[in-house]
Amino acid sequence: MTRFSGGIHPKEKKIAKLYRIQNIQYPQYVYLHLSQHTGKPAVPIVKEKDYVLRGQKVAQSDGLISACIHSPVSGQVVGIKDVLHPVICKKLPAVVIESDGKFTTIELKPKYKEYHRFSPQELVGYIKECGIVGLGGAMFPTDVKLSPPKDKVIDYVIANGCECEPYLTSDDRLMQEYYDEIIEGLKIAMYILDALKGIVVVEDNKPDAIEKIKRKIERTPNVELRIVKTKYPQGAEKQLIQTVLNREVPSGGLPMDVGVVVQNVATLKAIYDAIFKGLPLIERVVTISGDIERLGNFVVPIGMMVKDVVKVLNINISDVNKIIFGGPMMGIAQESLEVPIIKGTSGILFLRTVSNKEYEYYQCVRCGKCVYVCPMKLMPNFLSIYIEHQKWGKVEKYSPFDCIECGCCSYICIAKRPIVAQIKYAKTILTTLVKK
Amino acid sequence: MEKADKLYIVSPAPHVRKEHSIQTMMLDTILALLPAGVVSVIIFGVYSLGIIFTSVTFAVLSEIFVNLLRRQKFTVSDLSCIVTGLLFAYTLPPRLPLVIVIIGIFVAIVFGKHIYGGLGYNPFNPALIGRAFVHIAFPQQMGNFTFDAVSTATPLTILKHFPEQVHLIPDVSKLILGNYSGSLGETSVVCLLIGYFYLVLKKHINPFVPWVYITTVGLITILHDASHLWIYLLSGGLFLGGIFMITDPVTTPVSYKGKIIFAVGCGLLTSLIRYWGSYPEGVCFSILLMNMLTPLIDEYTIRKKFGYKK
Repeated sequence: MTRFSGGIHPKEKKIAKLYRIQNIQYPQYVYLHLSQHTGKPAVPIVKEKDYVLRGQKVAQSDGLISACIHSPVSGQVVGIKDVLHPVICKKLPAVVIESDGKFTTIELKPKYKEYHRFSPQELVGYIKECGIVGLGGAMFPTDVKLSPPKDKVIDYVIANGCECEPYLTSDDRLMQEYYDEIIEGLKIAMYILDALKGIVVVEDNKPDAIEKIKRKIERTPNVELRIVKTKYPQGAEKQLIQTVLNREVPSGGLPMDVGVVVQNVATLKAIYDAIFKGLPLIERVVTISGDIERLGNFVVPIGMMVKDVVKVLNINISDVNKIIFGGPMMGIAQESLEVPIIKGTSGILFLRTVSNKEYEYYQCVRCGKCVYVCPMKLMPNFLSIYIEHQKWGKVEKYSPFDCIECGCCSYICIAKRPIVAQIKYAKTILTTLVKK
Repeated sequence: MEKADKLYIVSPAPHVRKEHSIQTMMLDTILALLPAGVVSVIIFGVYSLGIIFTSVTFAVLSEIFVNLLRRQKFTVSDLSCIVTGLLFAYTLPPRLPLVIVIIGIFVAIVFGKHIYGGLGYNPFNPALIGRAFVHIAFPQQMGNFTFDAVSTATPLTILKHFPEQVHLIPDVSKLILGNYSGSLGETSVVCLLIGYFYLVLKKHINPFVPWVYITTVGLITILHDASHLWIYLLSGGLFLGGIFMITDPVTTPVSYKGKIIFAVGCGLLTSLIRYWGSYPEGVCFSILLMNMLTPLIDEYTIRKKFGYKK
């Protein structure tokens, strides 16, 4: 097995890994963002005062790359209001539903249970109908990943159980408690893609999950387990494929270009729930962690506000001054508690940072540490300097668009330069320049 | 909806950083340099402590002077001026008048570093700029090496200009320990190697680069004068330059490949100056010359990116 070049070893801080997945008390209101996926925002199909059931579709996907959105509660639609979006970080329309507390669920018809009797197209159509997106954080619509163009032959489906971000433990817990569902989900994906082999990849810092998966797949043909060394960003698609199969996804390409489809283990469980139970994606496992005492992994409904999470779990956040959606390496800091959870929220971290001083940075001393850790083998130091001086022609030469924004360069920088933030900025600038 | 009572800190990802900084890197370099300094005091007497102390003090003062002149924040705390002060002092002969030390370190800090914009922007190694300046401005004093209170030619000078005195050169064990005539910090190979292992342990320098440099010089020496190979390698500034100067992050290429090219280039130029030039030692000028090529080397050693064919 090869290893990807670069990478870092941040402190793991997986302090929530011993907490079993628990249910959370549902809030009174849920705020369902119309844009919870890569691609076009969904179009609402309910209006004010409508009564919706748990699991009922409230917004329809719009176009090829888009996803449907369902209500996690039964109750009345309050309206469509502008609510802070956790990823885009501005106010965007969201369907607000007031729960009646009854959780009357739509009639679940798991008619695809015997999935071998249906065509892959039908199954993909149903997965799209269930609004499943990549739950690792990228939120790419799963149905698009599961329907590659005819000329692409897929021979491997990889179940990504690396979870390389510090703090996050939701995938770890899922693999320990729902390994059956995950492997079934993997088999469904393999059937849809007509793939020869499924590979579950787990980092070696999750021995319990490895044990459970190992025992499960002993009886499962065509599925194997690969244990990889713990290194960030092992869970990044391209690095994962390089490590496991020694195939390099071409620049600008997708994993399917090298015959691979990668699915997060949480996504595979969602696929299982859709096919075997008929359940659309209305809740997900979220790790609650950080510098607080109430830790855990909870099944949280999509659209639940952070302030409700804090209230329901009785989290003491008086010392907390930073709230992050996702892991500390790639997660997004939130300015207020009034942000709803979306499909890609794998964790909420409540952190206490020392001071604002950590954001001061110095000039680059060319130590080259960022170059050695970059898993995409870019030159972050030159990117950083040229972006600072706005030399866009030079910036393009160092291919900022190949950056996967893993944050290794900023993490390792001895001058504390915000390199990955600069690269993200350069990407937006260069895209607008090209448009003009 | 009620108003949120508290706003939280927002900042770009990543939200965790490795706990190191420019200061810690410089501090490690200072620690790595210390053994050679201590030994220089033992070998050359207390006066060398005066040179080191003067050099470091005036490095700090020059830094503050420029900070005041440029109305910028004080940059002494990044400790780079102390490293420059130490390195500069280590390249000087043991009885150099302190005035020259002061002039040299002023040139090093002001014209070697700050005139280009400060730490990170200097194309040349500041300590070597200072050293090159005093070397040219005060050739007589800079050529006067004293050992055991007597003016003694360095082994390299003997080999170059007084080959008949070759028997005066100490044996290899003395060359390794540093007990012979030479610049302050360059003579004790053992102490410099202690610094080398410390820097490698702390992952501040590439472990191979110094050896590439020394090997390059060694190979050419075999062609030139194989009988005195060990004298050529162990005396002079090869180890000081190889361990602390061609591994300086700011003035050398970033990529592994670039660093190796840089080291080989330095080795070639050092040998060229030593064996066919008019100076007995060429470490200082070879590194300064290669510093000029650093941007070019960087340009031509961009590595293959992930997902590209070539």
